[in-house]
Amino acid sequence: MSPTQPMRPIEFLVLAVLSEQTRHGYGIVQEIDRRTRGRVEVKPGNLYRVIDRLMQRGLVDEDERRPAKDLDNQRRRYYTITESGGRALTEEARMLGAIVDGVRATFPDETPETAR
Amino acid sequence: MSSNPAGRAWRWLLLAFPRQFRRRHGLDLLDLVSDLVAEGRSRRSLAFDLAAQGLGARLRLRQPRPYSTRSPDSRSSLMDRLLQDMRYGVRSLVSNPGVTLVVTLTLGLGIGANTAIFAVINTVLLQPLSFDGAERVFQVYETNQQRGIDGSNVSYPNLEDLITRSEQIEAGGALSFTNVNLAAGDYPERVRAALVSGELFDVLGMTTLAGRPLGVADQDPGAESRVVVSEGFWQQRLGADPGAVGSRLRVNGRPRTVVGVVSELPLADVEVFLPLRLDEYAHRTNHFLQGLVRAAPGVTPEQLRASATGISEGLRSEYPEAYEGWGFRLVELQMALVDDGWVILVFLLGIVAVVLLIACANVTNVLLARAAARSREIAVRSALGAGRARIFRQLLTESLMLAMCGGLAGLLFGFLGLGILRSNLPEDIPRTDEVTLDPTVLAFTLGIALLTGILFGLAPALSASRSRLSETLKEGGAQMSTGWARGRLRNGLVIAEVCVSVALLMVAGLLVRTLLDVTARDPGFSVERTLALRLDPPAQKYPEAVLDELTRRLQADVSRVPGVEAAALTSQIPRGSSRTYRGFKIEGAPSPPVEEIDYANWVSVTPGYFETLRMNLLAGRFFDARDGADAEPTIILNRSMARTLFGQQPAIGRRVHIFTDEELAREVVGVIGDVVDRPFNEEIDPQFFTPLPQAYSNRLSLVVRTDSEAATVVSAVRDLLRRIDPDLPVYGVQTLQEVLAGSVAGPRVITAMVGAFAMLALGLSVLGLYGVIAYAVTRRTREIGIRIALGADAGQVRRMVVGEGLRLAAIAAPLGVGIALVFLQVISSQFRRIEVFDPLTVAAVVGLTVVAVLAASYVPARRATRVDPLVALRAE
Repeated sequence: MSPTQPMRPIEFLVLAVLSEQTRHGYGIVQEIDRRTRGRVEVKPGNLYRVIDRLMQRGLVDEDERRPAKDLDNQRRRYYTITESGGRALTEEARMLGAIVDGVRATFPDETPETAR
Repeated sequence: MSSNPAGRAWRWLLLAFPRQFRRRHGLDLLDLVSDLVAEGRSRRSLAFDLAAQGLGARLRLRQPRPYSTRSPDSRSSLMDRLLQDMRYGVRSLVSNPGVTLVVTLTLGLGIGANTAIFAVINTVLLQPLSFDGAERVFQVYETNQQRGIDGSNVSYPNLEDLITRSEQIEAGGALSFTNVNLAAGDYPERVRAALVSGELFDVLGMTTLAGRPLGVADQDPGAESRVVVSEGFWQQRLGADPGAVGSRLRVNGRPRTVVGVVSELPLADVEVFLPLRLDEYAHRTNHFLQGLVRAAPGVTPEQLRASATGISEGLRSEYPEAYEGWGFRLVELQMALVDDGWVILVFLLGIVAVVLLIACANVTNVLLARAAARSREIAVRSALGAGRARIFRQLLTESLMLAMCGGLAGLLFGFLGLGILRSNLPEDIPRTDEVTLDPTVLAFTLGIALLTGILFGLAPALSASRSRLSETLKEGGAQMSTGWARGRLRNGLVIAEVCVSVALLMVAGLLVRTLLDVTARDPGFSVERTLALRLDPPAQKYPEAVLDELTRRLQADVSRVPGVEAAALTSQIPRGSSRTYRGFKIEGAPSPPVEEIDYANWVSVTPGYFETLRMNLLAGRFFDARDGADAEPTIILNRSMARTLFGQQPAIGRRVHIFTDEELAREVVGVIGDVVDRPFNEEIDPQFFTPLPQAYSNRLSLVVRTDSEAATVVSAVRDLLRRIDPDLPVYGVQTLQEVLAGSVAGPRVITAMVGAFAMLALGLSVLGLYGVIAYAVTRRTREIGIRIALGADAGQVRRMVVGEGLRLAAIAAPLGVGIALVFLQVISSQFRRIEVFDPLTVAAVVGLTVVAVLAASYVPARRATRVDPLVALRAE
């Protein structure tokens, strides 16, 4: 799969969230919820299908490293973004960013959402 | 979560996902779910998500991509993929010309047969008649429930009253077909003519090309003799002469003025039109016309029929005797033309559909064999990254392209077949000259081709795309163990083919037997060297007394013509189509109520009739000079009627009442053997004969038995008739052989067609058998090599090969016979005369099947005997 393929929105979100740090499933759901101010609710079945797909495409991987035992349930798997995942994310962000810039230029009075 | 009963429920939901997915992510999923539940999310929405996503994962349903890009990537658009598949398909077809040719031919035959039959169905049943207002035209029949009549011709006064009294009817007319002698020049020919009345030309949308059409004024008995010719006649026989109108033609010896030229009659090929004179034939009780009416615009069929019912009620009270029990029945003209013919057409369509299925089975087999041979190629492609779905789709596309080739071939065969079909369809099927390959038929052919492509392409494509890669490449691709399942399918298909062919042959065999039985049945009268001619002396010119003299003179003079052995006159020839019925009862018996009156076929004959036709006298005597106009009224019964009236008691001397105008009692003087008027019926109609001098009819036929070829006598008889009365219309000249043949013509054609299709089906099955047997030989080459090396001779090897085929046939044939018997039992009401289970037919069909197996095995058997053991044992 060539990284030049356009991403589905949910894929972009998951990759974006994983690009900062390794997370497990629940963590991804929470972070997406936070960043989109609750507008995007990721259901478990959906999430893991997306993760499965991203893993098959080599954009996401299972993280060998784990946080301290006492902080976490051992069964959970942690996911991290791969190098090609990072490249794909960057490219998509670049494309979307250019579009967002255009929108901002058209509506300069709108307060942009602070992502962080 | 594991011990929690709620947790177990989530586990169940997890089963929606495919196994691999569950293995990879199942636990994590459950953990996430429990986290979300703890957080307070709705359990129901979570459960739904699991179920839906799981199923979606199984079905590989995905969210659509947000936008498609122009990427140089194998996941291109649908159109690109299709074109690529098609290109690949063309390459594949071209590189295997043998297979392509065989498949194209096989499919072409199957599809072509369907195309031809459908073309007929399309024209006859689906396309409306082609003249203006055709959808508003109805044919008028008269019915009489008491007499068991449900579709007789109309009488002139009844039709007139219907037309004039009904507000729903805009125009009406009648016609009656006949044959006339036409002298255009000095070479008289017999041509088809129609007597027309009223506004018939208008109702049928015929246009006037020159002069004027016939009108009511021309029907006046006092009017001059006029005639209108058809366009075809005008062009061919009159040379499109512009001066034709006003010229004279001799019709039946009588000069007539041509007053107009009209376009062709939509119903039948007619050359000239004569006005229907309102004299003799205009009795209310004389039902001989084909009535046609056109409803006014906006009138529904129900309104029209209600109007007709009302009018017939009125007629019943106005004419209680002449109209008692009668009524009208109106049928849309298009349906009236088809009548029962559609049953035949649908039956034929069913048969050719079956033939096509057999062709598809054959093609499937061929493609399965090829798929096995291509397994290497497919395995390599699969290793290079083509997914199963991709390979499947590509193979299916290839099949569809083969099907399209077959469809084109089918169009060609269909076109050719249509030419043959058109001239050979039974007469019940109307409008056969209009049948053509129009866009509907083309669409049908295309549809059928696509359907067959999917049908025969599915199995090979599925089978091929499932090849196990490693096994194929390991074993060198040729003899695969996974071919076992395929071999089973192929064998099964061939068994099915042979089974169906056998069933078709059984049906054909039964039809043939029925036909043979019917034609072999003793007709009850002599058929050789006997002629029949229709006379119909018009009553106006020939009232009773004059008619008496005419018939005497005719009989005497014709008998004296050289070559004539005997002659007589009758009101109805055997196997004739126009029959008259009268009610009857035994003298002295109480008159039954009207609904219960028995009816019998009434025939009036001159003395000498029975002898001329060599009928059997069972008791008493034939008519002779004693039975004159002033003598005691006499009657002769056929055996069926004698039995009906008197059972086993002797009938001679008893007296019978016939419900004619006179209500005389007649004495039975003779009983004759039954004449088979309806060859396909078991029972014989009751029939009675009166002496012509005692019971006149103006519809007369002359029957003449000759001592040499009948045809040579015809002109002599015609000359004689012309001398006696040049105006006497003489037509319908046939030998009784022709009459007999005509009465089975339709069934004969059907039988021939079913037989032909059954043989085609068998031929296709032979091809299928050949393929399977050849494949079996190839598969068992090693075994054959070993046997030969161990001393088996050619005969043993051949027997082994033939045994393969016989094994399959042994399963298929009894199955086919069984199916046919069940089917035939279901429709056996049509074949009362023949035992459905006929050992002779079964033996013949089984014999044919064995011959087919032998034929199919011939080439593979020879090939098997030529196997070189050294080569065979060496080959992997």
